[in-house]
Amino acid sequence: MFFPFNNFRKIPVSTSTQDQLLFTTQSNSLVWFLPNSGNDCDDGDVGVYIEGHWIDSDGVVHRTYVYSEFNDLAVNPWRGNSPYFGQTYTWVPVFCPAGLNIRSHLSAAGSDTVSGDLFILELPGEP
Amino acid sequence: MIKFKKQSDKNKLYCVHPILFMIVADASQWWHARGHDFVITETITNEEIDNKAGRVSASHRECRAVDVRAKDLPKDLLFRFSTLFNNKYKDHAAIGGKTLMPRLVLLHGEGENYHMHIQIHNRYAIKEEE
Repeated sequence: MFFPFNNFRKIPVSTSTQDQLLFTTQSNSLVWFLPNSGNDCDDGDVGVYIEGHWIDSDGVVHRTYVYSEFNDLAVNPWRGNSPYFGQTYTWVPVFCPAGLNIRSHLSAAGSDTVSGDLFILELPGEP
Repeated sequence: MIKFKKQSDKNKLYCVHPILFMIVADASQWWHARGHDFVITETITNEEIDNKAGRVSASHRECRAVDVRAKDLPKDLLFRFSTLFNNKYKDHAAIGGKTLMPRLVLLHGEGENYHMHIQIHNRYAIKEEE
């Protein structure tokens, strides 16, 4: 047996969940947004706020607040120019270290609405 | 739960393209909710393995495809699943060589080898660094 489902979460998000705290990562995680069918998600319509802290090699705690915006730049992302934490403009899963708070922020032009699922996959291993 | 035919595929799954991993996780949850835990039979390969298996596509060695055993899964659910997921992930799916249409799930093989080939677009190919 492998890959228990409590390591994978699918959280519905929409304008009604705007900016609410959705999840705090317990371990290194991948976070991905998938719009619902029929949504017209153009560049800049959907973002995920990822907030937390880093501890640098001197033990200094740095607060971070990163807005990762998803758009349709679907290029080979994983090795080389990877979608790691802190990078933006990616339509692929974003890597988040443990202990980060995740909120979604959706916007759409005019009266359009945007909704979808936020996928969170906690990876095995030490945070 | 996801099960594996070969233990080595447990770790290899974490090396496939992350979009494929998320889709596999979503798919496994869909099947689990319907009382079936699927078995992954192939993840990342190399040219030697592909040649031995007679594969013409490089999708497995480009880390953008997994195979899932289908012989034990109900046929009606298989077709529902492939229709649903082919539509849901059409923006990320591989393009069929003959149809030129996006196709995430292909049902392949016969008998013991009957399986779902889940593949994403070749723009997501992960290749050995030159």
